[in-house]
Amino acid sequence: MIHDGASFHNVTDLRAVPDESGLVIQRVPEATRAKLNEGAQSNYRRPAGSEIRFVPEGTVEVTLSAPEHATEVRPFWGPFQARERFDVGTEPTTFEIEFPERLTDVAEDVTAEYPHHPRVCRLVLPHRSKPVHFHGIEGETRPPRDAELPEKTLLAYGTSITRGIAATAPHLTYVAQTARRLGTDALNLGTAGSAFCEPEIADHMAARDDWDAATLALSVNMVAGFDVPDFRERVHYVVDTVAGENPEKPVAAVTLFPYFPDLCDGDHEDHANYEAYREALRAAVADAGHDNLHLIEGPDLMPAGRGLTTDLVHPGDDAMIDVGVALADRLVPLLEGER
Amino acid sequence: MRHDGLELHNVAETRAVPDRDGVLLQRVPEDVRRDLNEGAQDRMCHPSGVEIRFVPEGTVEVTLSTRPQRGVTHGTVEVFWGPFQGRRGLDDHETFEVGPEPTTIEVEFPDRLGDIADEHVADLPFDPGVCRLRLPGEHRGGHVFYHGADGDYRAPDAAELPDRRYLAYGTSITEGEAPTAEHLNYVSQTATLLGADLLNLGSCGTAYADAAMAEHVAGRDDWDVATLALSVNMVGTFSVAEFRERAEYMVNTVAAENPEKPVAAVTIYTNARDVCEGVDEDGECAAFREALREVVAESPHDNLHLIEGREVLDTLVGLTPDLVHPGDDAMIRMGENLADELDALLEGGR
Repeated sequence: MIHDGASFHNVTDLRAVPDESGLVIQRVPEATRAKLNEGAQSNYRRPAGSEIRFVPEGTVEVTLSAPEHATEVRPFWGPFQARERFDVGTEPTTFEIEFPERLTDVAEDVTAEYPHHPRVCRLVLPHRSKPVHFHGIEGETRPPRDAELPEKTLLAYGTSITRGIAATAPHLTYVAQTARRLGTDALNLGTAGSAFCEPEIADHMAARDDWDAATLALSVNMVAGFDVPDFRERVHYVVDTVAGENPEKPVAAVTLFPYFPDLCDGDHEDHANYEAYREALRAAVADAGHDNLHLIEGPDLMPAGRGLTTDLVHPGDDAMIDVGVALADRLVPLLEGER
Repeated sequence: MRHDGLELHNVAETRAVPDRDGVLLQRVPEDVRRDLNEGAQDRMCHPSGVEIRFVPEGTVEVTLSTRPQRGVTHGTVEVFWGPFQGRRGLDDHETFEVGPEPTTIEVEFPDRLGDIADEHVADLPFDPGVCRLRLPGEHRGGHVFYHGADGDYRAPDAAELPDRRYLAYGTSITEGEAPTAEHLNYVSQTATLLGADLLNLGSCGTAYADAAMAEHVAGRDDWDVATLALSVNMVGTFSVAEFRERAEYMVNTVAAENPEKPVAAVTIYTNARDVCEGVDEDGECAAFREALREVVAESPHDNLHLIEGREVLDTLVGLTPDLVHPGDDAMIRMGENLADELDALLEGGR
């Protein structure tokens, strides 16, 4: 969305909230958010893969706050990772941004190769923070033009793994790593502990017209709390709706990523039946019967064990990178074939 | 090296320093360090790629401190358990801030890792029981002093560690100046993809291919493949002829004394001189690359190979805006490309 001379990427609502200053950065529209489970309501008021983008003329001041817990943002200039990080406190915090001189010398034929133009400042918001509030931009800016941004966009729904909770930085989530390899933008709708596949989030994704391919990683969050028939019904609705309403766009359902029941001995308690959830998603994809709906096996995306964090659920950086490599390989032919 | 019952990985000497408690962890022996150029003498006291490794029984405490350098007083120690990145709570990695005062790190084996089935453990290059305290290299911290360890622990044995080792010499890019963390450095990424252990001898701003470094690398018996990334630090500091002479001595010395091991000389990585107008009108960077190519072509050693830096860093995506130092995404890309090259060399034997 466009606001205050900037493009807010992976932000669909900026809302005033009672007793707090600024506008909370929100990843789904309020009408959708209000109908989701409590955890997802909270998650979608936290950024993940969200960016404030603008082309500055001279020095620009941006003011943000993170009322519940201080955080930081990282500027990128198109494809270039700036060294500085800006602290964002619980009170409104202003920081200054200026285009790095050196980048003006990059030859035009070189910049043309990159999906994001270097003149586009991308303030990458944190991926595992509490809510971040926007207070304003001072100085001369304009939103980036279409030609300065990637032509295509990948949408990703899933759990904390998709949100990227155990990646060291927001550009290291598997969604960001996949998009970087594809040369696309990414819309991250990962929701930690709360990817419960409600029809409202399915309808929201299905109705959006701003993505070209989607991955639906469904959903280790449901293994302990939903029985297999309930799971199957919900995931069927999600995959059927998102693929069915976007017949020209490839949609990939991803079965559970490898995690502790795949690796460990023992009875796994609530997770004993984990394979049945993979099987239910396979069946849901087959039943839906859309040519543009594909199945990707989570275990094929990550060598068992390498780079997971010690909870043996959440991928750390090396596993995120592995997923990015493997998922991009699977999506390239789907994007080229458009379905 | 072993010290205090621990394995100090990528540490070649622990040295007491006047007026300080603890011992300084340095990456080359003191007699080598003293013969390096002045800047490299400092760099070899920065712990890039250094890990304190042990297998704990119960809780273990390790005490470290930093000696601030260039205004950097604190650094982050990241805990890995074998190949697994340590995690604490939902939003936090298992990390510890270490500053100038001795700081005690307390670790305990994460129970869940003990349940991993044997067949999966066998596939992992590091055993999950090995605690790896990965120290902050480059400008992510200062020099690090080790003060001691408490608790029941033992050093890892060979079967718990990768069965091959990759040694890397080069500039700040190799030492890892701009990635967010040690494990995101291109040489770390390369080692991870190869299933190898990394010995990082990157030397920020000071990779002058000193003879003492050449002889040190050549004389070590603890690596299986080496890359010598030579050297953007010498552009503008040395003439092409001087560069050629130094590079020739280094690559031939290392290759000659290790005839069964592949050694790759890597030409200067893609940088501003390649993509900006008016930055290198004399073509100096290209001349350095050409000199290294000639050195390798003229070498009598079959185990010496050439890798083109521009093919390893084959994109600008993820560089930092100085257009020299790779950020995370560029490092990841370099790791993938370099691992492919080295894998082929290792498969071929030599």
